[in-house]
This record gives sequence, C-alpha cells and structure tokens, in this order.
Amino acid sequence: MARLTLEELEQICQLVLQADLEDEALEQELIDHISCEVEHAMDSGLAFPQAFHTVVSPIDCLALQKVEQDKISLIRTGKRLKKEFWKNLKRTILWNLASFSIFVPAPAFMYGLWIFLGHVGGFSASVVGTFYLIRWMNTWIEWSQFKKELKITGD
Amino acid sequence: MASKELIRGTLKTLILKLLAGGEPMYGYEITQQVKALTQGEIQLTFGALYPVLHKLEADGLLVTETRIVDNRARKYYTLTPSGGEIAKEKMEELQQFIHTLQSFLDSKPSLNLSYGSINP
Repeated sequence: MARLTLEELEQICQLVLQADLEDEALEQELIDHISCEVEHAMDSGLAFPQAFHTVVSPIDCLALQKVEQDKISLIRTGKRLKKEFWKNLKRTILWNLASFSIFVPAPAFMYGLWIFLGHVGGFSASVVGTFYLIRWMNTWIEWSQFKKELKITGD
Repeated sequence: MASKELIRGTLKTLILKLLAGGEPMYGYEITQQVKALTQGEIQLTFGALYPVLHKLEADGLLVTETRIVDNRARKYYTLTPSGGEIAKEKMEELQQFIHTLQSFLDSKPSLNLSYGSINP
C-alpha cells in the first residue's frame, strides 16, 4: 500500500488547517481520513499530485467546517433547546407575575402620578412577559420537532 | 446507490453493527468496510460519518484510542458494553422495520378503505 511522505502529508495538513476548525481531534481525524483516501487513489496507479487533486478537488473549507457544525449540532441541539425551553418558561412566569403585581395594586393603593407610573411599569413588564411567552412557544415547537426527528433518524 | 435520506436513517445502526465485531476501527476503515459489505451500494462520506461517530462517543456508546500510524494520529473506535446492548437493540429494530416495509411493499393496493362510506 502507498505511504505518504512527510511533504505530501504536510500538503493535506495545510488543506485541513485552512478550515480553521476548533475541534483539534476532529481536525486530526480528517487529516488521516483524507490521507487514507489519497493513498488509496495512489494504490490504483496515480502519482501523488493526481491522487491529491482527485480526492481534494471536491473538498473545500466549507465542507470541512460543515462536518464540525453538524457534529456540534448533533451533540448540543437537544441540550440547548431543553435549556432554552425552561429558561424562557421561567422568564415568562416571572415577568407576567411582575406585571400583575404592579398593575393590580396601582389603582387600589396608589395616587396621582404613582398610578400612572404603576400602569406604565405594569404594561412594560407585560410586554416583556409576552415577548418571553412567544420565545418559549417557539422553543417548545422547535424542541418537539427535534425530538420527532430523533425518533425518525434513530439518533 | 442508496440515497442520502435512506443512509441517514440507518447510519447509526450500520456503524454499531460494524463495531459489534469487537475489533477497534477507524473512520476510513469503517467507510471501506461498509462499501465492501454492501458491494458499493452504500458509500459513506466523512461529512456524514464523523458527526455520528462523535455523537455516539458523546453518548457513551463508543470509546476511542488514538495511535500514531504513518506519522499521523489515527483514532480507533470500540463499542462500550452499553454500546453493545444498543447495537443489538438497533439491529433488531432495523430488521423488524425492514420486515414491515417488505410486507408493505409486497401488499396489493386493492384494499379499499374508504372512510365514511357505508359498505353493504
């Protein structure tokens, strides 16, 4: 089986390093994978430059970066959505409670300018509460879809 | 050659099945084994393979060992005991699914189930 020289291996390293991946372990794996493909092409009789060109021409930085993004999204998406779901739910409840606690006592215990300020504060808190309610509902939908997709793909 | 959509749904099972043999394997070796065992019908790309391998590792189904081979680092994957259990489950699940799918494909579309109609 063909073996790459250090100079040839360096060319492959440069290609992968250009993608500037954060995951060094994945970077090393991709270098090994592409090197194996080039060696395999050399076994079929191609010289290194042709083998390198054949294997590498369909690969660009974006393709390599996509591997890393897909990996991150596979591992993290579920955890991230679950975290966001609870965070947005908590904020929705807190802001709406704040809105009620300012709105409700405003006419009963406050006078003059304080009533006006109470209403403005209550309304503002209610706007923020609604914003988080919408975000929470979006996360809920996204999380449900993600779980459904996991069932389909069996991941 | 099998479409990407079909491969995507079974990729995890393919990898677990290969590693269930007990031998540590590295990424390129997995792609070549799958290609050879399926007579070239299934060709895995590194773009599809590595995210799933890393996900399986993160889930504790695989462990890895890095060795230096031909001046470069090579990562070998092996099934953990829990990975072995999941591999069995996934293979049985896939076999059952293939059986169900086959029954469906073999069935004749003459079964007329028109909802709402009254059949004498």
